[in-house]
This record gives sequence, C-alpha cells and structure tokens, in this order.
Amino acid sequence: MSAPPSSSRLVNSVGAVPFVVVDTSVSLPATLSSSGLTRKFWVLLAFGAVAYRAEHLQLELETLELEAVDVGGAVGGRESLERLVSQAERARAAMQDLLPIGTPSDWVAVGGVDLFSEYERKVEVVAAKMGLDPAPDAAVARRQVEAICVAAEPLLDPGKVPPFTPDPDDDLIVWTALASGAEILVSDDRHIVPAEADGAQFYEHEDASVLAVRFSHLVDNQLAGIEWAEMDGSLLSQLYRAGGLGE
Amino acid sequence: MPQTAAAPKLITIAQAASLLAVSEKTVRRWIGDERIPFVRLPSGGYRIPQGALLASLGGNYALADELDELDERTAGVGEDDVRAALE
Repeated sequence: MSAPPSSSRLVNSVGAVPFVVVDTSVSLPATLSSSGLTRKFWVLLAFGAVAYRAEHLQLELETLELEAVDVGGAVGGRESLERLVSQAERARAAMQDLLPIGTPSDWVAVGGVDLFSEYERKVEVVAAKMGLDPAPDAAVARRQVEAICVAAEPLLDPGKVPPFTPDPDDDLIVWTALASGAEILVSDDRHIVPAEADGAQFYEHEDASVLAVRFSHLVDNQLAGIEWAEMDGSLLSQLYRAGGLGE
Repeated sequence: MPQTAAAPKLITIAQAASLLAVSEKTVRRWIGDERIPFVRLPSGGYRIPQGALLASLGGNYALADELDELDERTAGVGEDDVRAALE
C-alpha cells in the first residue's frame, strides 16, 4: 500500500467511464433505506448501468456472432439481446428526463460473486439486528445489487488473495476491485479505508491499482458537481419502470 | 490482471449460475426460453455474454416490484440505522 493519489490522477483505462466497486458498508444502506444519500448514489449507478449497457450490449452481440463463426456454433436468444439494447436505450432516455439536468451517466458499477454473497449474508445479519419483521428476502435484495453491476468477477479462491487489510473478508473486496479493473472502491469499512487514511486509501498489486474512498469523500470530491438535492432516491423503482426494466 | 468490464466476456452455464446464485437448471431454462442470449457450441455446451446476463435480470425478475417490496419492509429505516447495525 502507498499514499493515495489525488483525484486528478483518476484517469480511467477504458475512457471516461470510472468503474466503481461498492462494498456492503455502502450498498446495504443504499438498498435497505430509501431515504438517504446512498440511495441517490444507487440511482446514479442505475443510470450509469443502463447508459453503459445501451452501448456495450451491441458489442456483446457482435462478439457472440464472431464466437459462433469461430467455433462453428449457433447464436440463440438474439431477440432477447436486441430487446435489451433497445430497453437500455429507452431506460437511459427515461431516466435522463427524470434526473436533474447534468447528472452524469458514466458512473458504472462492477461487482463479483464474493461481493454479492457477502451482501446477501449481511442483509440477514442486519435485518436480525434491527428486528425487521417481515425481514427482507436477502436473495431478492441481492438482485438489486447485481442489477446495477455491468460486469462481475467469478468466485475467488481466498487462498490466492494477498493480504491487503487486517480482515480476510475485506481482502476479497479489495481483490474484487483490483481484478475487475475498477478505478474506485467505495467503502466505509475501517479496515479498507482506515481512519488515518483521511478518507482515501490507495491499493495496488502488480499492474492493477484502485483508490478506496469513504462514501463522504466520494461525494465531496469525485461527485462534488452533482445536484443531490434535486435527486429523489425514492424514484428508483419508478425509474426502472420508466425504462422498461423490472416489468 | 487487470481485466476490464469493457471487453465482452462469454461465460459458461456453471459460471452464470454461480454469478447469479441460481441453479444451472434455471440458466438452462432461460436458454431454452431464449430469455438470455447465448452461443450453442458444437460440443453441446453454451457460452453466455456476461453483460447481457446481468442486464437481463430485469426481464427475468420483477426488479421494480421487488424494490418496492424491499422498501416497504424497510420503511422508516434510515441509512444510519443500517450503518449502526453493521457495527
């Protein structure tokens, strides 16, 4: 580990899209509370996901066709993919109409099986601690996280994950961020972003690196230009429907 | 490393099932119904574009309804309440 870079060093390797990994310390408040700033951040990531998909799914269709030619196979479900492309384009337009003018569409979340499973496990823990009755269905809640991720890392071998933090579970999260090529890991976990790190902690391994930031640091720095007061986090399901998602 | 999300990634049925925590049977049913795109290999195997698989969640589940129900069950819960429960 080394000192965190300044925000100006955050140049994305794949263009203007800053891929982010959101750990459970932020994704749980975002999904289990509809009233906070983290839910508004979730809206931003949902917007980023549909905008990204509108462009990326066409590339996937071409890749699928090339693969079929290469291996002598056959493409199936082409209509479903074409439908996803038009759905994403519709969703992007609909969300754009409902969100404050100037809301960026290039904040895109990526995840991983370990991260999704950790989230699901913690939903049950948090629900029990809070005495929520009926408790949220953790598997259903997990889909709210998967849905805003445009790509995901497969299950990791814990034995191959280097120690980055005092907690092996947190090492998996850092590793997920590094392996997925994320620029930013958003985490309020004190092991991932220690108190002495002043809100941001830089991680690197071989040729990969990621800046882990606390949510408040992200809002105050990387997302400083967003009109949060104009954004209604409770609109997320309406946004899904407006774009033809979740029907 | 690093592998970026920018390059389309084709995954197996087992990987898709693991990713979404569903059974391989469920993924095969989606394939059978052509609810997700895929390439059928000459060997009989399948490859699925990962981005489309994740994007197709909205079509395979009622995400908006599920979110409404989630919000209903957590009505009145503030994000600081969740943070406190995580401590």
